[in-house]
Amino acid sequence: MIALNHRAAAKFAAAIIQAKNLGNVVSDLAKAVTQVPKEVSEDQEAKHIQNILLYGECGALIDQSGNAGIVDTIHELFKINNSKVRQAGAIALGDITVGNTTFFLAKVLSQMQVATQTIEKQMFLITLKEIIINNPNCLNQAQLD
Amino acid sequence: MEQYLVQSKSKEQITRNIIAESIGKLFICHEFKLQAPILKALKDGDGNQVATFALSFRFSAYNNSNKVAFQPYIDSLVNLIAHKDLEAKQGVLKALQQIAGNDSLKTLFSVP
Repeated sequence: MIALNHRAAAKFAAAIIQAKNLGNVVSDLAKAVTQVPKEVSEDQEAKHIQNILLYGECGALIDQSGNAGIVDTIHELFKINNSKVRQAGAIALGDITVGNTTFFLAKVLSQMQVATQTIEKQMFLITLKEIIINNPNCLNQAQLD
Repeated sequence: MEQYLVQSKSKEQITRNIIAESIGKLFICHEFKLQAPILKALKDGDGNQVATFALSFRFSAYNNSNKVAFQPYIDSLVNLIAHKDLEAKQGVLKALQQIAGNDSLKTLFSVP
């Protein structure tokens, strides 16, 4: 499980990044998310989790639809060896989707449908849970059926 | 919901818990839109589906005072106590515990 203090710290830092209009920090975080290795050692785990969660929280506040490839990037995180980093990716993807549901929600749902591994499906379910908790009204009738 | 209906058959309890929480939170905003699939899962679902959908009431009934939204499920849930699947039975009992423990909803069990 991701520690609550990691999430709270990310939420707080993202609010500051938004208030100070630090777009370059968000770009750096996006880059850091793309550079997470397939094998994450325990001593590197916390750094990656913080970067991923912080990017997700920034995405909830600042629309990331300009970085359309992020859904694929985070989907790749669902396949890495470290369960906490995978979970951070799932939470971040939910947060990013909340930042622009019109753009991201359909992409997330379609990737969820093509996911083959149990662990990938589980991560997409966590993503969907994050979306529902933060913005339950974003789902339309077709998506609820 | 179609995805949830399929995935709720999973043998993985972690998966079923994530789905139960999601449906429970979704129910708070879309209680009437979700009524048909929830009733269907409780009526026709396998043990895991019944367990998942019943468990969702633990999340939807928490601090919820909308009696009308929960009324349609009471008879089904009470009858499902006798379900032969242990997981389903546990899910149903947890749901009933949450509803009965809510001061606004416990009167739903009153005999007319």
